[in-house]
Amino acid sequence: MQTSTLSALRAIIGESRVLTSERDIALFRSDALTLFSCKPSAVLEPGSRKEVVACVQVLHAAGIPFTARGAGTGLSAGALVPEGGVLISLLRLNEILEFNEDARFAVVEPGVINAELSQMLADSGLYYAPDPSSQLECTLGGNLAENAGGPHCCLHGMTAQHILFAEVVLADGTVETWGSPTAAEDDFDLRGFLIGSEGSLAIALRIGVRLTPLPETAQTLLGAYPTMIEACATTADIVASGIQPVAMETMDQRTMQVVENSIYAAGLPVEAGAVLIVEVEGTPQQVEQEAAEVEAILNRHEPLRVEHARTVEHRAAIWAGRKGAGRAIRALSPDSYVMDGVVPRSRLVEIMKFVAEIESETGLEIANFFHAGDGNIHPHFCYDASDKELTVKVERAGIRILRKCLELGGSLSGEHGIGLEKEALLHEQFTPETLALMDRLRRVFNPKDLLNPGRGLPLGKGCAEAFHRHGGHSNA
Amino acid sequence: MPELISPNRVNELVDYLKAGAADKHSILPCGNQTRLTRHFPKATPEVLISTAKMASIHWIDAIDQTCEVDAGVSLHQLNEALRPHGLCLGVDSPHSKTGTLGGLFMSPDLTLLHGACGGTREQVLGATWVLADGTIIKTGGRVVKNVAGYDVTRLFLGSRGRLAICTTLSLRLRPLPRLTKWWTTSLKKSLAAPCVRMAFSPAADSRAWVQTAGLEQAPHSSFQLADPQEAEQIRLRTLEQFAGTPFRHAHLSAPTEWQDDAWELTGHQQCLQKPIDAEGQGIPHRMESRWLDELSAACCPTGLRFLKRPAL
Repeated sequence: MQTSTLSALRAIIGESRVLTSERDIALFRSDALTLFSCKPSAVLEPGSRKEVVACVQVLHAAGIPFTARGAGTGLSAGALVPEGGVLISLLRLNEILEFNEDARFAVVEPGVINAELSQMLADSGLYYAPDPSSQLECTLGGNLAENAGGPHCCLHGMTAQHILFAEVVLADGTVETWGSPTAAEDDFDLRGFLIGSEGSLAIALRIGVRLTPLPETAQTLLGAYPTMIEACATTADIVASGIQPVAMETMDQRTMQVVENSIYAAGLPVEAGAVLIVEVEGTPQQVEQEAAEVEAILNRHEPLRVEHARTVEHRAAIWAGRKGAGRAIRALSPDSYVMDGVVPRSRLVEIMKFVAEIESETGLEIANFFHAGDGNIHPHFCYDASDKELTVKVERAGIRILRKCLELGGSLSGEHGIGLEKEALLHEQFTPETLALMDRLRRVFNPKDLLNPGRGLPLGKGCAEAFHRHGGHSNA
Repeated sequence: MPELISPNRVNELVDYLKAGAADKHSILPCGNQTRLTRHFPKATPEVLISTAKMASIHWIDAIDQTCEVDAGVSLHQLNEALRPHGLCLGVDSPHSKTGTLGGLFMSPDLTLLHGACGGTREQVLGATWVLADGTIIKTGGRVVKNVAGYDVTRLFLGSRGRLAICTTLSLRLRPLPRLTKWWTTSLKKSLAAPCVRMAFSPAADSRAWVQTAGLEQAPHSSFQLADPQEAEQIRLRTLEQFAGTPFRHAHLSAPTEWQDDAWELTGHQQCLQKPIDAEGQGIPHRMESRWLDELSAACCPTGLRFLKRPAL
């Protein structure tokens, strides 16, 4: 980067907020998917929306690629820039700007942490519903960029259903607002197009989020089964029964054992091959009735045991265990790869049988804990990236599972996004015509491809080389 | 009067557009024309392309609670096909028999099921489209959770046919409520709790009508039960009243306990009192967004586009 550009950036946000030293930048080489890494030439830490806009204008004028980054908890290598590019960290933009209790929305800056928003609002009886497992660290800006999910999206819907509007800065520094507090459905929906665009259309500066009333009461049921197959079959039965649980999660024995040996221990049935966690919420009568029906279905599939969590504490422990599972597992091995695929809920048993086949065929250890109620699987590989051969094996196994998801009518991603991880597979899900259209639509907002270059779509030939994969190429 | 073209199959539509129809005429895609004047009151298309004759239900996956249908299928037709499976589409519309699902999603009405199922377009998982040059595009997918690629589905749905013609839809389905009851109460005391799956209060009336649907009934003594005939009239009247209204969310607060004063209606109901008039007043301004023109140009690099002379 030219020194004149660096000086211009320093003049805007201050000397100490332009990070360029090897040590300062090391943290920003990867997001939570360490298969990919790339060192940005600088990391900017603007402290206000005005500063972000000014930085974007300087970078645009200088023709330097840039990417916005929240907490770096993304799992698809979405917030990386190719060499020579700049990362804009939005963590300092962490104010809750407005809380409209009557109309049930809040306006926040993109660096606000997901769980902190709900904690701040606790007294009002409202909360922000989407709850990615990384919610204690991840930012709402990142949630918007990736259209994040989470266990309770089973009933409440993804991030897209909870964002009413966003003030954005485009690649050229123009500021606009897309959407409105009233979320008019008959409007032209740029807001909807923005959410999940992986930071490649615009950077959100202010986000209007919908708030949801806290449930009056809730109950969580655990069904312990000999294998994952019974847990998945039970899931399909509960979906088909017409009960709409707010969350329906499953964990295999390997995962439960790791959780129970960690600080997230929740008293999970480690003797079982898999556990199905079902939560229902509503009025007390409704919850009693639905829980009884769920219990009947759990019992129909010959469980080892069925357990009720009726108290707030017990439920909180179960969810801490479920959401901490990823962290507990990551601590076990030098590297981990949690992949993300979706199948129709009627095909869950098939996909999990296939995952088991891959496991026995390759000898790789796969931990499974995922959003069964949405058909959203997350096979989790533990490995050591210094073993190149093993890394390639892991990547290939991941690709085979994703291809199987597509074969069963599913999708390459339910909530993690495409990022660098899956760009090479997108053409297997979409036709060349559809991908070409997506590319043209993106160029309307990001004509020079400076903003998160190429992300969300297959990169141009050779561009993938700009990023370093630990284990070499995997598209075999 | 514009010429009406109603292809029987997607191929016919593609052939017609590939022959350069959009170059020769100003074309407006539509469903069964039930709401054309509302959405494009000043448009002067030469040709209307209707998808109403493409009306097959391709498949219903009752376990996954999803289906794929042609855009010309009506809401009523779909719900009838879903009934034996104990399912329904989580949307309500005054044009359930006369309109098409394509039209319903492209120019959504208020849905009385909003509180339970989310907004109208949130039921759409994916779709097939034909661009002005005849290119077929498939967006989204058939699964209930999907973030692969850009959400072109949302962008196209919001364009009211100006970016692409919708030919098939993948939809999320909902279980049929086991019990549905209509209640009346005074407006002040209305409405909504988690078990109240449908609830609405027409602002002009002093009474509120509440429909509960789910596993149980609302345990509220001050509600009066409406008889089934009156309930159906209420439902139709409510839907009709809002058919011409740019709908905004009405937020309904959930009481923490069942006490009269715990009920209140909050939010944006004032927006519901601004119907679109014959001059097109009330249409959200973003339909004139500069982005719509640029995106329209990006859809077909050859410069073909729908509604060449949009006069909104």
